[in-house]
Amino acid sequence: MDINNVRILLDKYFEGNTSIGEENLLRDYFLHQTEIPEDLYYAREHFVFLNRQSDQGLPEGLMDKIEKLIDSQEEKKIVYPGRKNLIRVLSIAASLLIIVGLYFTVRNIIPGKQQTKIEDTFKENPELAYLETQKVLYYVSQKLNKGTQPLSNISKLNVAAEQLQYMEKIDEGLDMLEKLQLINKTENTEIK
Amino acid sequence: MHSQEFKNLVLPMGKKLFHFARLLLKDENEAQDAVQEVYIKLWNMRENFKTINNIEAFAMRMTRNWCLDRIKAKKPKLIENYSSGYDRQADTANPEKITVMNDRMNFLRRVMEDLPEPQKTIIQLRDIEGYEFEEIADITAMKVNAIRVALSRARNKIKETLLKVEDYGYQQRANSAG
Repeated sequence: MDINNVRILLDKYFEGNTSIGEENLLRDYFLHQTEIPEDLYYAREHFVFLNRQSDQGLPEGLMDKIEKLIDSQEEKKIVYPGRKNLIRVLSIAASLLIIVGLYFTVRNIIPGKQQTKIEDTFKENPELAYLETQKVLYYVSQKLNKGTQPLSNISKLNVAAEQLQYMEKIDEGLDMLEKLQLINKTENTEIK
Repeated sequence: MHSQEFKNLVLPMGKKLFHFARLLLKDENEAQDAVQEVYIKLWNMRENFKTINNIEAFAMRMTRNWCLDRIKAKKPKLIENYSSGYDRQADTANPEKITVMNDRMNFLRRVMEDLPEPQKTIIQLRDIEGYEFEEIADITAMKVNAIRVALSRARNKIKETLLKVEDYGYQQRANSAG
Protein backbone atom coordinates (compact mmCIF):
# COMPACT_ATOMS: atom_id res chain seq x y z
CA MET A 1 0.00 0.00 0.00
CA ASP A 2 1.23 3.49 -0.89
CA ILE A 3 2.48 5.38 2.16
CA ASN A 4 0.30 8.38 1.28
CA ASN A 5 -2.77 6.15 1.26
CA VAL A 6 -1.68 4.79 4.62
CA ARG A 7 -1.53 8.30 6.06
CA ILE A 8 -4.95 9.17 4.67
CA LEU A 9 -6.46 5.97 6.04
CA LEU A 10 -4.74 6.52 9.37
CA ASP A 11 -6.32 9.98 9.68
CA LYS A 12 -9.70 8.49 8.85
CA TYR A 13 -9.04 5.73 11.38
CA PHE A 14 -8.42 8.14 14.24
CA GLU A 15 -11.57 10.04 13.32
CA GLY A 16 -13.53 6.82 13.65
CA ASN A 17 -14.54 6.80 9.99
CA THR A 18 -12.86 3.69 8.58
CA SER A 19 -14.66 0.50 7.64
CA ILE A 20 -13.64 -2.92 8.96
CA GLY A 21 -11.96 -3.62 5.60
CA GLU A 22 -9.89 -0.44 5.76
CA GLU A 23 -8.93 -1.17 9.34
CA ASN A 24 -7.74 -4.62 8.30
CA LEU A 25 -5.62 -3.03 5.57
CA LEU A 26 -3.99 -0.72 8.09
CA ARG A 27 -3.43 -3.55 10.54
CA ASP A 28 -1.84 -5.77 7.91
CA TYR A 29 0.36 -2.95 6.73
CA PHE A 30 1.72 -2.08 10.15
CA LEU A 31 2.14 -5.68 11.29
CA HIS A 32 4.01 -6.85 8.19
CA GLN A 33 5.73 -3.84 6.64
CA THR A 34 9.36 -3.63 7.72
CA GLU A 35 10.10 -0.16 6.33
CA ILE A 36 7.94 2.32 8.18
CA PRO A 37 8.59 6.07 8.44
CA GLU A 38 9.75 6.98 11.94
CA ASP A 39 6.86 9.34 12.55
CA LEU A 40 4.49 6.36 12.16
CA TYR A 41 6.18 4.11 14.73
CA TYR A 42 3.43 4.99 17.18
CA ALA A 43 0.85 3.59 14.74
CA ARG A 44 2.76 0.34 14.42
CA GLU A 45 2.79 -0.05 18.17
CA HIS A 46 -0.88 0.84 18.27
CA PHE A 47 -1.76 -2.03 15.94
CA VAL A 48 0.71 -4.42 17.56
CA PHE A 49 -0.98 -3.69 20.86
CA LEU A 50 -4.50 -4.28 19.51
CA ASN A 51 -3.37 -7.45 17.78
CA ARG A 52 -1.93 -8.82 20.99
CA GLN A 53 -5.14 -8.08 22.86
CA SER A 54 -7.15 -10.07 20.37
CA ASP A 55 -4.65 -12.93 20.44
CA GLN A 56 -5.00 -13.68 24.12
CA GLY A 57 -6.13 -17.07 25.30
CA LEU A 58 -8.56 -18.13 27.97
CA PRO A 59 -7.77 -19.04 31.57
CA GLU A 60 -7.23 -22.78 31.84
CA GLY A 61 -10.32 -24.82 32.60
CA LEU A 62 -12.85 -22.01 32.18
CA MET A 63 -14.62 -23.55 29.20
CA ASP A 64 -14.60 -26.99 30.84
CA LYS A 65 -16.18 -25.44 33.91
CA ILE A 66 -18.84 -23.82 31.75
CA GLU A 67 -19.58 -27.07 29.94
CA LYS A 68 -20.05 -28.84 33.26
CA LEU A 69 -22.24 -25.98 34.41
CA ILE A 70 -24.49 -26.42 31.37
CA ASP A 71 -24.68 -30.16 31.93
CA SER A 72 -25.67 -29.67 35.57
CA GLN A 73 -28.32 -27.16 34.50
CA GLU A 74 -29.75 -29.70 32.07
CA GLU A 75 -30.00 -32.41 34.72
CA LYS A 76 -32.03 -30.08 36.89
CA LYS A 77 -34.75 -29.77 34.30
CA ILE A 78 -35.71 -33.38 33.65
CA VAL A 79 -39.27 -32.91 35.05
CA TYR A 80 -41.58 -32.72 32.03
CA PRO A 81 -44.77 -30.64 32.00
CA GLY A 82 -46.98 -33.77 31.84
CA ARG A 83 -45.24 -35.22 34.81
CA LYS A 84 -45.68 -31.95 36.68
CA ASN A 85 -49.48 -32.23 36.30
CA LEU A 86 -49.42 -35.87 37.34
CA ILE A 87 -47.52 -34.94 40.47
CA ARG A 88 -50.06 -32.22 41.23
CA VAL A 89 -53.04 -34.55 40.79
CA LEU A 90 -51.39 -37.27 42.85
CA SER A 91 -50.62 -34.90 45.71
CA ILE A 92 -54.23 -33.66 45.80
CA ALA A 93 -55.50 -37.26 45.79
CA ALA A 94 -53.10 -38.21 48.56
CA SER A 95 -54.18 -35.31 50.78
CA LEU A 96 -57.87 -36.16 50.20
CA LEU A 97 -57.13 -39.74 51.20
CA ILE A 98 -55.50 -38.57 54.40
CA ILE A 99 -58.50 -36.35 55.26
CA VAL A 100 -61.02 -39.15 54.61
CA GLY A 101 -58.90 -41.60 56.57
CA LEU A 102 -58.65 -39.21 59.49
CA TYR A 103 -62.43 -38.68 59.44
CA PHE A 104 -63.17 -42.39 59.81
CA THR A 105 -60.53 -43.08 62.42
CA VAL A 106 -61.64 -40.12 64.55
CA ARG A 107 -65.28 -41.20 64.25
CA ASN A 108 -64.42 -44.69 65.46
CA ILE A 109 -62.33 -43.44 68.34
CA ILE A 110 -65.10 -41.24 69.82
CA PRO A 111 -66.53 -43.28 72.73
CA GLY A 112 -70.26 -44.14 72.93
CA LYS A 113 -70.66 -44.11 69.21
CA GLN A 114 -68.69 -47.31 68.91
CA GLN A 115 -70.52 -49.90 66.83
CA THR A 116 -71.34 -53.27 68.40
CA LYS A 117 -68.85 -55.82 67.43
CA ILE A 118 -70.10 -58.65 65.28
CA GLU A 119 -69.17 -62.08 66.63
CA ASP A 120 -69.40 -65.39 64.90
CA THR A 121 -71.43 -67.69 67.20
CA PHE A 122 -72.41 -70.32 64.64
CA LYS A 123 -69.95 -72.89 65.85
CA GLU A 124 -70.85 -72.74 69.57
CA ASN A 125 -74.58 -72.15 69.33
CA PRO A 126 -76.23 -72.69 65.93
CA GLU A 127 -79.72 -71.98 67.20
CA LEU A 128 -78.77 -68.62 68.58
CA ALA A 129 -77.10 -67.83 65.31
CA TYR A 130 -80.27 -68.82 63.46
CA LEU A 131 -82.37 -66.56 65.70
CA GLU A 132 -79.99 -63.69 65.23
CA THR A 133 -80.09 -64.13 61.45
CA GLN A 134 -83.85 -64.23 61.49
CA LYS A 135 -83.90 -61.04 63.52
CA VAL A 136 -81.65 -59.31 61.08
CA LEU A 137 -83.64 -60.46 58.05
CA TYR A 138 -86.89 -59.37 59.70
CA TYR A 139 -85.33 -55.98 60.40
CA VAL A 140 -84.31 -55.67 56.77
CA SER A 141 -87.75 -56.63 55.47
CA GLN A 142 -89.34 -54.08 57.79
CA LYS A 143 -87.16 -51.38 56.38
CA LEU A 144 -87.94 -52.49 52.84
CA ASN A 145 -91.69 -52.25 53.49
CA LYS A 146 -91.21 -48.78 54.91
CA GLY A 147 -89.47 -47.87 51.69
CA THR A 148 -92.22 -49.15 49.39
CA GLN A 149 -95.05 -47.41 51.28
CA PRO A 150 -94.37 -43.88 49.99
CA LEU A 151 -94.40 -45.29 46.46
CA SER A 152 -98.19 -45.87 46.70
CA ASN A 153 -98.59 -42.12 46.35
CA ILE A 154 -97.69 -42.46 42.68
CA SER A 155 -101.34 -43.40 41.98
CA LYS A 156 -102.27 -39.81 42.94
CA LEU A 157 -100.60 -38.66 39.75
CA ASN A 158 -103.52 -40.13 37.82
CA VAL A 159 -105.99 -38.12 39.87
CA ALA A 160 -104.17 -34.95 38.96
CA ALA A 161 -104.10 -35.91 35.29
CA GLU A 162 -107.89 -36.40 35.28
CA GLN A 163 -108.34 -32.83 36.45
CA LEU A 164 -106.54 -31.64 33.34
CA GLN A 165 -109.44 -32.85 31.19
CA TYR A 166 -111.36 -29.79 32.29
CA MET A 167 -108.98 -27.70 30.23
CA GLU A 168 -111.11 -28.55 27.18
CA LYS A 169 -113.91 -26.46 28.63
CA ILE A 170 -111.68 -23.41 28.42
CA ASP A 171 -111.62 -23.87 24.64
CA GLU A 172 -115.44 -23.82 24.53
CA GLY A 173 -115.46 -20.54 26.47
CA LEU A 174 -112.96 -19.02 24.07
CA ASP A 175 -115.15 -19.97 21.09
CA MET A 176 -118.03 -18.12 22.65
CA LEU A 177 -115.89 -15.02 23.13
CA GLU A 178 -115.28 -14.81 19.39
CA LYS A 179 -118.91 -13.74 18.97
CA LEU A 180 -117.99 -10.50 20.75
CA GLN A 181 -116.06 -9.42 17.66
CA LEU A 182 -119.36 -9.15 15.81
CA ILE A 183 -120.43 -6.47 18.32
CA ASN A 184 -117.29 -4.48 17.50
CA LYS A 185 -118.02 -4.65 13.78
CA THR A 186 -121.61 -3.43 14.15
CA GLU A 187 -120.42 -0.57 16.40
CA ASN A 188 -117.93 0.57 13.74
CA THR A 189 -120.55 0.60 10.97
CA GLU A 190 -122.91 2.57 13.16
CA ILE A 191 -120.36 5.32 13.79
CA LYS A 192 -119.71 5.62 10.12
CA MET B 1 -32.92 -27.42 22.69
CA HIS B 2 -30.46 -30.08 23.78
CA SER B 3 -27.29 -29.21 25.62
CA GLN B 4 -25.13 -30.29 22.69
CA GLU B 5 -26.93 -27.98 20.28
CA PHE B 6 -26.74 -25.20 22.86
CA LYS B 7 -23.04 -25.75 23.42
CA ASN B 8 -22.27 -25.70 19.70
CA LEU B 9 -24.13 -22.43 19.38
CA VAL B 10 -22.77 -20.47 22.33
CA LEU B 11 -19.52 -21.99 23.56
CA PRO B 12 -17.39 -20.63 20.66
CA MET B 13 -18.08 -17.06 21.82
CA GLY B 14 -16.73 -17.75 25.31
CA LYS B 15 -13.40 -16.14 24.52
CA LYS B 16 -14.99 -12.88 23.41
CA LEU B 17 -17.30 -12.79 26.42
CA PHE B 18 -14.42 -13.42 28.79
CA HIS B 19 -12.10 -10.75 27.36
CA PHE B 20 -14.91 -8.24 27.29
CA ALA B 21 -15.80 -8.98 30.91
CA ARG B 22 -12.16 -8.80 31.96
CA LEU B 23 -11.73 -5.40 30.35
CA LEU B 24 -14.81 -4.02 32.11
CA LEU B 25 -14.19 -5.62 35.52
CA LYS B 26 -10.37 -5.37 35.41
CA ASP B 27 -10.26 -8.68 37.22
CA GLU B 28 -9.76 -12.13 35.80
CA ASN B 29 -11.62 -14.06 38.49
CA GLU B 30 -14.62 -11.79 38.39
CA ALA B 31 -14.61 -12.01 34.63
CA GLN B 32 -14.82 -15.81 34.93
CA ASP B 33 -17.80 -15.45 37.25
CA ALA B 34 -19.42 -13.06 34.81
CA VAL B 35 -19.03 -15.45 31.90
CA GLN B 36 -20.51 -18.32 33.90
CA GLU B 37 -23.47 -16.22 34.99
CA VAL B 38 -24.09 -15.17 31.40
CA TYR B 39 -24.03 -18.80 30.26
CA ILE B 40 -26.57 -19.81 32.90
CA LYS B 41 -28.83 -16.97 31.79
CA LEU B 42 -28.42 -18.00 28.17
CA TRP B 43 -29.24 -21.60 29.07
CA ASN B 44 -32.42 -20.56 30.87
CA MET B 45 -33.67 -18.64 27.87
CA ARG B 46 -32.50 -21.03 25.17
CA GLU B 47 -36.09 -21.63 24.03
CA ASN B 48 -36.31 -17.98 22.95
CA PHE B 49 -33.18 -18.07 20.79
CA LYS B 50 -35.29 -18.17 17.62
CA THR B 51 -36.56 -14.66 18.35
CA ILE B 52 -33.03 -13.27 18.72
CA ASN B 53 -31.39 -12.51 15.40
CA ASN B 54 -27.83 -12.14 16.65
CA ILE B 55 -27.12 -14.40 19.61
CA GLU B 56 -23.51 -13.29 19.94
CA ALA B 57 -24.39 -9.60 20.12
CA PHE B 58 -27.12 -10.53 22.57
CA ALA B 59 -24.65 -12.40 24.76
CA MET B 60 -22.20 -9.50 24.61
CA ARG B 61 -24.94 -7.12 25.70
CA MET B 62 -25.83 -9.41 28.60
CA THR B 63 -22.17 -9.57 29.60
CA ARG B 64 -21.86 -5.81 29.50
CA ASN B 65 -25.00 -5.26 31.57
CA TRP B 66 -23.92 -7.85 34.10
CA CYS B 67 -20.47 -6.25 34.46
CA LEU B 68 -21.82 -2.70 34.71
CA ASP B 69 -24.29 -3.81 37.40
CA ARG B 70 -21.48 -5.51 39.25
CA ILE B 71 -19.29 -2.41 39.08
CA LYS B 72 -22.15 -0.24 40.31
CA ALA B 73 -22.85 -2.55 43.25
CA LYS B 74 -19.19 -2.78 44.22
CA LYS B 75 -17.27 -0.31 46.33
CA PRO B 76 -14.27 1.14 44.57
CA LYS B 77 -11.25 -1.10 44.94
CA LEU B 78 -8.12 0.35 46.49
CA ILE B 79 -5.68 -2.19 45.18
CA GLU B 80 -5.81 -3.22 41.57
CA ASN B 81 -4.88 -6.84 41.18
CA TYR B 82 -4.74 -6.92 37.44
CA SER B 83 -3.03 -10.02 36.21
CA SER B 84 -1.49 -10.27 32.79
CA GLY B 85 -0.18 -13.76 33.28
CA TYR B 86 -0.98 -15.16 29.91
CA ASP B 87 0.26 -12.52 27.50
CA ARG B 88 1.59 -14.10 24.40
CA GLN B 89 5.33 -14.03 24.07
CA ALA B 90 5.55 -12.85 20.52
CA ASP B 91 9.14 -11.80 20.27
CA THR B 92 11.98 -14.05 21.37
CA ALA B 93 14.85 -12.21 19.71
CA ASN B 94 16.08 -10.26 22.69
CA PRO B 95 15.03 -10.90 26.32
CA GLU B 96 15.57 -7.31 27.40
CA LYS B 97 13.65 -6.03 24.45
CA ILE B 98 10.78 -8.36 25.38
CA THR B 99 10.51 -7.00 28.90
CA VAL B 100 10.52 -3.43 27.65
CA MET B 101 7.97 -4.33 25.01
CA ASN B 102 5.77 -6.17 27.51
CA ASP B 103 5.97 -3.28 29.94
CA ARG B 104 4.76 -0.96 27.24
CA MET B 105 1.99 -3.36 26.25
CA ASN B 106 0.85 -3.74 29.85
CA PHE B 107 0.97 0.00 30.26
CA LEU B 108 -1.21 0.45 27.18
CA ARG B 109 -3.53 -2.20 28.51
CA ARG B 110 -3.98 -0.20 31.69
CA VAL B 111 -4.59 2.97 29.68
CA MET B 112 -7.28 1.12 27.77
CA GLU B 113 -8.87 -0.27 30.93
CA ASP B 114 -8.94 3.19 32.45
CA LEU B 115 -10.85 4.70 29.55
CA PRO B 116 -14.38 5.81 30.47
CA GLU B 117 -16.92 3.04 30.03
CA PRO B 118 -18.56 3.46 26.66
CA GLN B 119 -15.16 4.22 25.13
CA LYS B 120 -13.40 1.10 26.35
CA THR B 121 -16.34 -1.09 25.44
CA ILE B 122 -16.37 0.34 21.95
CA ILE B 123 -12.64 0.06 21.28
CA GLN B 124 -12.74 -3.53 22.55
CA LEU B 125 -15.67 -4.43 20.33
CA ARG B 126 -14.34 -2.66 17.25
CA ASP B 127 -10.55 -2.82 17.27
CA ILE B 128 -10.11 -6.11 19.11
CA GLU B 129 -13.18 -8.18 18.26
CA GLY B 130 -13.86 -6.58 14.87
CA TYR B 131 -17.60 -5.93 15.19
CA GLU B 132 -19.50 -3.80 12.68
CA PHE B 133 -20.96 -0.51 13.93
CA GLU B 134 -24.49 -1.91 13.68
CA GLU B 135 -23.56 -4.78 15.99
CA ILE B 136 -21.94 -2.40 18.46
CA ALA B 137 -25.10 -0.30 18.37
CA ASP B 138 -27.06 -3.47 19.16
CA ILE B 139 -24.79 -4.32 22.10
CA THR B 140 -24.48 -0.86 23.63
CA ALA B 141 -27.89 0.61 22.68
CA MET B 142 -26.02 3.66 21.28
CA LYS B 143 -26.43 5.48 17.97
CA VAL B 144 -23.80 4.76 15.32
CA ASN B 145 -22.65 8.39 15.28
CA ALA B 146 -22.13 8.45 19.03
CA ILE B 147 -20.20 5.19 18.70
CA ARG B 148 -17.89 6.74 16.05
CA VAL B 149 -17.21 9.71 18.32
CA ALA B 150 -16.43 7.52 21.32
CA LEU B 151 -14.26 5.23 19.21
CA SER B 152 -12.31 8.19 17.85
CA ARG B 153 -11.68 9.45 21.38
CA ALA B 154 -10.54 6.03 22.59
CA ARG B 155 -8.16 5.55 19.65
CA ASN B 156 -6.73 9.02 20.10
CA LYS B 157 -6.19 8.44 23.80
CA ILE B 158 -4.01 5.42 23.00
CA LYS B 159 -2.23 7.37 20.28
CA GLU B 160 -1.47 10.21 22.71
CA THR B 161 -0.12 7.75 25.24
CA LEU B 162 2.07 6.18 22.59
CA LEU B 163 3.40 9.53 21.41
CA LYS B 164 4.14 10.56 24.98
CA VAL B 165 6.09 7.44 25.88
CA GLU B 166 7.60 6.90 22.45
CA ASP B 167 10.87 8.72 23.01
CA TYR B 168 11.47 6.89 26.27
CA GLY B 169 10.60 3.51 24.79
CA TYR B 170 12.71 3.74 21.68
CA GLN B 171 15.62 5.07 23.64
CA GLN B 172 15.43 1.96 25.82
CA ARG B 173 15.28 -0.28 22.83
CA ALA B 174 18.23 1.42 21.16
CA ASN B 175 20.25 1.03 24.36
CA SER B 176 19.44 -2.62 24.77
CA ALA B 177 20.12 -3.35 21.12
CA GLY B 178 23.46 -1.57 21.15
